[in-house]
Amino acid sequence: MNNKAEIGATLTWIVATIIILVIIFIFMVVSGVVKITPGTFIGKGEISALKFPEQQQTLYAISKDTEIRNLIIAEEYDEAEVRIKPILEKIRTTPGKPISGWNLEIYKNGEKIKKITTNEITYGLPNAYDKQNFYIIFYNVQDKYKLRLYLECQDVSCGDT
Amino acid sequence: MMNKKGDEKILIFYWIIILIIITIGIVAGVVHVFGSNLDIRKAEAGLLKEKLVDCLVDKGELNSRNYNSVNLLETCKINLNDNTAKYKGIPQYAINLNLDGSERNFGNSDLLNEALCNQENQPACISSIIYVLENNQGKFLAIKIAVRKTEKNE
Repeated sequence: MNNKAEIGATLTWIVATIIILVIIFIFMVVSGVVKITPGTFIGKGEISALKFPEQQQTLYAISKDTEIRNLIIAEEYDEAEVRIKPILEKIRTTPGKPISGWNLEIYKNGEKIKKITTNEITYGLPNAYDKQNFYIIFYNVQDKYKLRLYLECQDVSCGDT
Repeated sequence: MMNKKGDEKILIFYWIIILIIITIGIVAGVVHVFGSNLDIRKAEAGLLKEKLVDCLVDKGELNSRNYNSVNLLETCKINLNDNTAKYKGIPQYAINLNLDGSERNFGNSDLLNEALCNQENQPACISSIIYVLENNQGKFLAIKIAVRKTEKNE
């Protein structure tokens, strides 16, 4: 009886030890998967990738640029594209900037009138690191205009070089 | 009584083994996750850039008063002094602003050497271009920032 009791207790603790080892192994595998690699944070934590202040300010400036605004109001959208596209290209093609694409859409009274793109992108691309869209609304008499900027980034350092 | 004492001895033996295993597991996990070198200089430069953008550009328009301020860093509440023991007094940051060719430099501008930027054991650099309006004139404001601190990120 005594031996049996000892064997029982020993077996219980051996099983408990094995379970603990398995749990520790699982934690180590999980920590290996999510481990921090040099230069990046886990997930979308790269701080500068979240706000896109340059892109927002650029969209503000485009919407306030009298020349561009007058072209849009005069419905000369192709001329507006000629004016807007180099601005977006210059910002997007800063050496090393890993933004995969920009779409700038012009809406008038809720209807999409023009799409200006630097690099055709697919909406909702599943493997894009980050997707952002900003829009600015301005009015001319009773007409409502909206400029919507949509961009996708390829990796964590989006927005920086 | 004897048997109970025997059981307790076995329990204590396993209890100590389990404590040791758990301790090793926790230590191994922490070392595994946090032991790798984490270089956050680009994030630091990104934060600096955001602070500058917020200070110099307001809804697409250049804040000329702030931009042309003699003490721009003070105006924008930016302190480039690294007061940690390792770098006390040695400049570790550089900022270059370029508004359509008109440049302003702050900090140690030697750090902005493009040949060295982002190389191994060299400063981490970022750059951005913003389209801004100044007196209703469209201009490009380029911002370059370098953070050294190489010794801390070898």
